[in-house]
Amino acid sequence: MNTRLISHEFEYHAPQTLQKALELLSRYGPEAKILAGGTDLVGHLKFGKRTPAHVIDIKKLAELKSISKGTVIKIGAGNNFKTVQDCFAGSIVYAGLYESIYSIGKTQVLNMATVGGNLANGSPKADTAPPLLTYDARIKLVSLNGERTLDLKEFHTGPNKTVMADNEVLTEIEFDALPSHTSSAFEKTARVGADISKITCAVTVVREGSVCKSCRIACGAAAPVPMRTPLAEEMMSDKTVDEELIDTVALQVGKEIKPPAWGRTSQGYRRHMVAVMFRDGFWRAWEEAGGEK
Amino acid sequence: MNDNKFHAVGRISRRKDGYAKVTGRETYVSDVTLPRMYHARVLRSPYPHARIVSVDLSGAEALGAICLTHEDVPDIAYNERQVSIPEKTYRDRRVLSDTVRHVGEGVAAVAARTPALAEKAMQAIKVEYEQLPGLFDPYEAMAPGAVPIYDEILLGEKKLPIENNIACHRQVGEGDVEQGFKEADLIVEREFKTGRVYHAQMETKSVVCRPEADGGITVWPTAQSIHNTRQLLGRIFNIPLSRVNVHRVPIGGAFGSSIQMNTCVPICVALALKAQKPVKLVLSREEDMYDHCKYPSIINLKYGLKQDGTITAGELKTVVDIGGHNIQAYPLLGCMAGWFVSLYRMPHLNFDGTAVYTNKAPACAMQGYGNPQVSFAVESIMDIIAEKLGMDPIELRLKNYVGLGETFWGQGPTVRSVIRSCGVEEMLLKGKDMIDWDQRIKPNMKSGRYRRGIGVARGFHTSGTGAPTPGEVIDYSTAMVKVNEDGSVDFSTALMCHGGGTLEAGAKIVAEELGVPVDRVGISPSDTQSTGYDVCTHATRGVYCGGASIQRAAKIAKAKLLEFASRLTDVNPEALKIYPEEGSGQGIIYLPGTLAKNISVGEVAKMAQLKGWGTAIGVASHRQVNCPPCFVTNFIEVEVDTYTGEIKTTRAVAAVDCGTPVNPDLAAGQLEGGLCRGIGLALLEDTDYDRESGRLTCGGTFIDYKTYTPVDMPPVDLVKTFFADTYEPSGPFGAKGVGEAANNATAAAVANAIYNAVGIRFQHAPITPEVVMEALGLQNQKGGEN
Amino acid sequence: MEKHTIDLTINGEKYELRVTPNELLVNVIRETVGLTGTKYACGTGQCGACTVVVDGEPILGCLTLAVTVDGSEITTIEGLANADGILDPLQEAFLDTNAIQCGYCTPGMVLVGRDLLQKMPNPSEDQIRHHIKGNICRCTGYNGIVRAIKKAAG
Repeated sequence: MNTRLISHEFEYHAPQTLQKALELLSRYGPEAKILAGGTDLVGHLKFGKRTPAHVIDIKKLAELKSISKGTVIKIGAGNNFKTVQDCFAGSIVYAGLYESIYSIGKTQVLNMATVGGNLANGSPKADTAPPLLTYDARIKLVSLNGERTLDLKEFHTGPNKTVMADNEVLTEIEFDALPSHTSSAFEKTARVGADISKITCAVTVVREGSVCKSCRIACGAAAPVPMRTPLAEEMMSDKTVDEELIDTVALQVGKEIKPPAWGRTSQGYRRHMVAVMFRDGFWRAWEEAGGEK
Repeated sequence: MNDNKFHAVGRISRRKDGYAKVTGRETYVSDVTLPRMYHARVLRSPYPHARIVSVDLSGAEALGAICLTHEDVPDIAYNERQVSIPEKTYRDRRVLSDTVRHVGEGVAAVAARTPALAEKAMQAIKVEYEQLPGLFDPYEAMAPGAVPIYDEILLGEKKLPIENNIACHRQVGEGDVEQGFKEADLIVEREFKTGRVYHAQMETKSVVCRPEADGGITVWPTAQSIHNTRQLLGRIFNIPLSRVNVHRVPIGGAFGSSIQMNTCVPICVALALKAQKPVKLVLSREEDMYDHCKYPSIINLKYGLKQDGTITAGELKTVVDIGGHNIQAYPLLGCMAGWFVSLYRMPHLNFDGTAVYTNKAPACAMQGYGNPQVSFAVESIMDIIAEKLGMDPIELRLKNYVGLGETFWGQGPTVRSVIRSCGVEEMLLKGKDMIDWDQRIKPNMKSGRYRRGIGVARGFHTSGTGAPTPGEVIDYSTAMVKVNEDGSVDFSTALMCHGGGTLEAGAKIVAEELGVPVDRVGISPSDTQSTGYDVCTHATRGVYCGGASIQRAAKIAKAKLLEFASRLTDVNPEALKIYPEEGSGQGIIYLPGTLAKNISVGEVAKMAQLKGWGTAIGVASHRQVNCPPCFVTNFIEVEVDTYTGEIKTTRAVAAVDCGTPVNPDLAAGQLEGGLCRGIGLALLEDTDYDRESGRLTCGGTFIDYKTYTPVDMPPVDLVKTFFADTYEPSGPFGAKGVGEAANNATAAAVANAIYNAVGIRFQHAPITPEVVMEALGLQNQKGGEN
Repeated sequence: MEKHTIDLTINGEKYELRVTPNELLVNVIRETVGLTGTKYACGTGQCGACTVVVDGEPILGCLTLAVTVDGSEITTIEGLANADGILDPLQEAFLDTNAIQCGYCTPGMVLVGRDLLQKMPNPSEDQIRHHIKGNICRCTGYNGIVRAIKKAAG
């Protein structure tokens, strides 16, 4: 490992179209890695964690940079964090997604890193994963063989592992537009203000009066994959919201996560924290949606 | 503070290196580029403790690299820190050793035409190691039967057997401590710990060396002492000092990490001599993190007091885990004794310190040299005591602190002085009003999720290590001042600026002494060939000690200048004065009471040149006979989130008694920076080792070694700094130091604030959210189950 | 490993360079081009000392392959002052506050601070701190730097 330079040698390709990129991926398969923003891959190259013979740069592909907001919101995977953050600035409904990017915050990183890359590297700590999971987001994967769309829920299979095949590119993230009386929030805790997450929690709630019609909850850095907490969600469905309910659900969220058993942060602390964060996130989202505590 | 007395000292002006720094034109070591320069890379041990059985360099040599192992470097044992006299210098270090004692210790080194080639060559080296058991805990290291990390080292010239991995031990006592405790109405005893913090200075250790045609070397190192670096290199490589030239190069942060000659320096010199080409060696961040760290501490502290709060006795015992090399733990222990002894008056006292080897990165001085560690313990326990006695914490401190007119020993028992300036009371009383101290309420009256608390702590640091007699610690500075033929002035010194403005202060002192405008004083580049010895810029000695030598040199130059002026004006030189005229940029020499004798400094210097009278130049080598304490006080307000254990600093007041602040804005900046690092010490920073692999659990990068970011500190308006109004008679224009004082009291102030917030006393730093939650009791808070 | 020819405009000057795919932008700028104002301090994208502005946006040179910025316009700290040596107002502000100590973080801080002021001429202190949070300073505790950016905002 040498953080001053990359000693690993590889060939670099900058295909001009997605089609060309797919052809290259098909040709080189397991020997190739996709380069988007570089904030993950370049680090891995320095550490010798990844040693591809070929690096295929898709950062500039215009085909991956569209954003459309209709009945389905589609975000091209090649958009940098800054673009996506700006796109959802001021939104109450999608505040969770906005906040997840804002929490990363570092100007340079938001310029470089892409939404697609953040998911494709499979990290359980990817900050956009929890809010997207609560939007029931879908991922589009494209290869020379065709394309497939799957639920984000199915995408991560283990720490830094996804269902993506070697010859696939993650091209788009989409989710059905949420009803207007929805709001979402994202809570993050870390060691310092600019840091990888210690634990995160996203909450998306649909409100009708004082009733929570549905609440979707997802946690990051809390398990081998970013995960929803369906049992906790079940407890919220069509219920009148009061402190007692939220406190009970919070405990359930803590129970459902599967935190790692190593590091300075104990499992007990993580379970405790995620419950606090669910409560904080829920009440913020609830009040944003016009609800009262 | 006397800011209307002086025209330069105490004024705010743009720093002279500011333009270069803000335009990217400042040249740090890693920016130095020489023609045909080779790049070096060090192969480092992956094991915490091992003997090197064999090194196969063939793969590297086949790539055209110049290679070295321990067999190719001089087999000289040395200590890389040369501040202590030889008899007290513990020598366990070699340029490259046949035994490695921590992960990351150098095994072999290569130099090649490009960094990429050097990396390849380094990776091609094959090493056979005989692994030895690693020790990662000082008590385990001291236990009978523990594998010896050293059998024997040198102390001075004498062989010193190492037993139970104890690097050194120091005990200092006064009076009869047992008797003192018997006299006490109250005895309080606690254990405190501080973490193994990493300096995290922004510039990694680096060096460039050019071999010269005459067999000498020119070196550009990250260094706080170019002269000590020169002496070591001359001795190790057997080159006369007149042929070893070490340049002073701006450094990207030090905090004590380059008091010692950095390990990369002699390795690079050896490569350059072998290659007969210039060689550059820049450490990666991960190499740097294995290269040095702050002394962690385990402190057992006990005080005996009368009911009225008078201390009758004090005892401090400490075990310091120094890692794989002794970078002068002996003076560290002496200093820790000195800090302990000089904070509060104790008629009976005992200090007992043990430094222990382990197989970790070697510890070295980091801003305070044991003072933040000791102050964390002492200032925390003072609050504990105050509560037990029902006294206000400030009142207790005012009752017992060592202050004006009293003897203190700062840097250990051989360095004693009488305090002649002291702003302790002023800072406590003024500071407390700035943060609503009297409105504090007890922790048990607080409720709700977020609880705030205010804590106070005080401290000091010695301004240097001067003393009236020679002792264990070398301390003096040499400076040269000369007046140029246009009235501008050069001054040259081997003092280093780490960023705090030491050389700015030097320029202001010259300007003040000579009566010329500050912007006409130039800081000369310096190297060891053109400067006299300066021990090191450390121990908060830059202004007080270094500045004093600069002032003396300026006085000598001034005397010559005025003598020349008297020839031209026909006035007795003793009657002439100089004032700075900003418009012309000249110092104007004049006779008070008349304008008729006015003549500019430039005119005099020019005439002296033309007439062959000479240059108005002064050289002074000066040792201060005191090391007066620069006192500090911190008031810190924290907010504890009792649901998460997270702690935020919401307000702070930092005050220093530095005598006359020569650079008030830079000194205030020191206080602010010290707060940030001190809060980091209290709440955040530590390095752990995996006991299987011997590696840092954080991996050696900033991904997992965290320091505070801009969003972690309170808003600028809620951090207030001020200076006590004092004047140190033995300091240049009344000045003392600031540097290390800025950091010493902070951690305890934070711990005391936390106590005031939630009523829980934390004695082990860093006080992380996990630790806080455990103490608050997970079940008692709304949240999840354990 | 095949070398690539890339065209960079750095501080208004054109460079045609031959680089290998694994060369980092920070090293090309520092060593090949010789502009050493941009620094290496962590190599893992955590400290911001390697910040350069590429096509108007600050990015991290230590995590950027030089080949990926072919055709770009790059501004380093050396490119801020104009041809007559007149400093950017933010640089002046840094000189008028105690924003500089050792100076190692200064180039990155100035570039990111300038980016903020271009996008948000009158930022609040929170906005300033948020925008520069990818830049670490070990010396100042950040207050001087925040004051400088505030001062330049006017």
